[in-house]
Amino acid sequence: MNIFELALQNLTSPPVLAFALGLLATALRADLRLPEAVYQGLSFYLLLGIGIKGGVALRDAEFSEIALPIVGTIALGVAIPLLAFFILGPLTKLPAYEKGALAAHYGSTSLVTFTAALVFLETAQTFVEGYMATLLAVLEIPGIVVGLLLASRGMSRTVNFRESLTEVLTGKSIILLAGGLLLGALTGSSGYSQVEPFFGGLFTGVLTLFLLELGLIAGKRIGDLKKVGIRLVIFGIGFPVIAGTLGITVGLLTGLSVGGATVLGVLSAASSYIAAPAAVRLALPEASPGIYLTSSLALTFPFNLIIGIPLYSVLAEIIANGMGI
Amino acid sequence: MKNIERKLVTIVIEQAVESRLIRDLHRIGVKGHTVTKANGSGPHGRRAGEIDGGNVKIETVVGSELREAIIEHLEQNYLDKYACVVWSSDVTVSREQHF
Repeated sequence: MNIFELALQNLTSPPVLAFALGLLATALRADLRLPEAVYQGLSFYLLLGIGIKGGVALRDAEFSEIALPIVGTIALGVAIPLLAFFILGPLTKLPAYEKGALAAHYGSTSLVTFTAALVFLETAQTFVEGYMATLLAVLEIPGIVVGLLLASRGMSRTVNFRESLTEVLTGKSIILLAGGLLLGALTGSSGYSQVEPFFGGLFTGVLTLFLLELGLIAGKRIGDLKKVGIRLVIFGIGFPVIAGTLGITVGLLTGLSVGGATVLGVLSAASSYIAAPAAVRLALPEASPGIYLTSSLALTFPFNLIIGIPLYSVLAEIIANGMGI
Repeated sequence: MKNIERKLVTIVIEQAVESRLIRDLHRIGVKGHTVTKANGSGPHGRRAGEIDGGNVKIETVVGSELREAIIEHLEQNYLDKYACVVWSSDVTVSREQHF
């Protein structure tokens, strides 16, 4: 398939269409919101489901097969926020704490973007290593730490890292994802078959409902894009492509398949809008959510979801061909 | 039944710092509190945590001295950094040892 067919296939998939419906509903000022408890329940389901499936695959994987991709992912988790911070320097006139807050968001990653990429690659019948959820869990944390460290340079007060780190480590993202991985690894394929109808068969449907809600939330922030300025808009779209390319390259170099490298590219390109905002809000109250959350949620997330995922899959093939893989 | 004068301190604050503030309140000497979800509008505008659920309202019934201590602590650590409002009112309680 060429890039246009891939883009069209992605655009007409139920999760992406539901996201678009959410944006449209907000534009029409429709008063739709998923009840808070349902939203929380759906995010529990997605995190645990992704974790369990990753854990089952992790059990079957050889250590030698996953060791290099894990090391590569940790390196990405450190390199991407540094890159974001230093690109933001000449691009914007933001103070260090705003750049650090953005670096924390772009260094961390997004479960929903990752999940949408899996659905996309599954539809395209591209092979993806089953243990990619492990890399998702690995990439959540280092970016936030590096971003906070960068922000705290030159600050007159001390930044309370411990509270933010506790928040991230005991937050639902890590507990459910890491817990799901452990659960899946312990129970294996036979155990998974018992919960497969719930966590497998229903998965894309739940993702579709969740993306509708995210479309409603992101739509409310689109108006704020005018306030963040054109330079940040350039960053919010341009940086994911740079980070995504880096992720794909690292994926291929550490032995992942083209599909696996695409997913690592998506993970690298994606920015956090759940774990990172909570940690950054605690540690850096002076940084403006109007900048980091708007950029992450109203710009980078839709970009990755609609254009980025097919783009990274094409880039992965091109880079793999160039490297002779 | 005895009527004992106390102060009801009500704090509305973004959920991101809920657990930190509750820890602080108990350290200052608060014996109990009630938390409810809160929605509304104010001059501060949007905030992070919206995606995980906006604000909480924390209520606690305390004596006058503790009320002053709570407000001073909020002024020093929360009011200018986070979306936070606080007010207090006079209430009567019947069981002195509880508050």
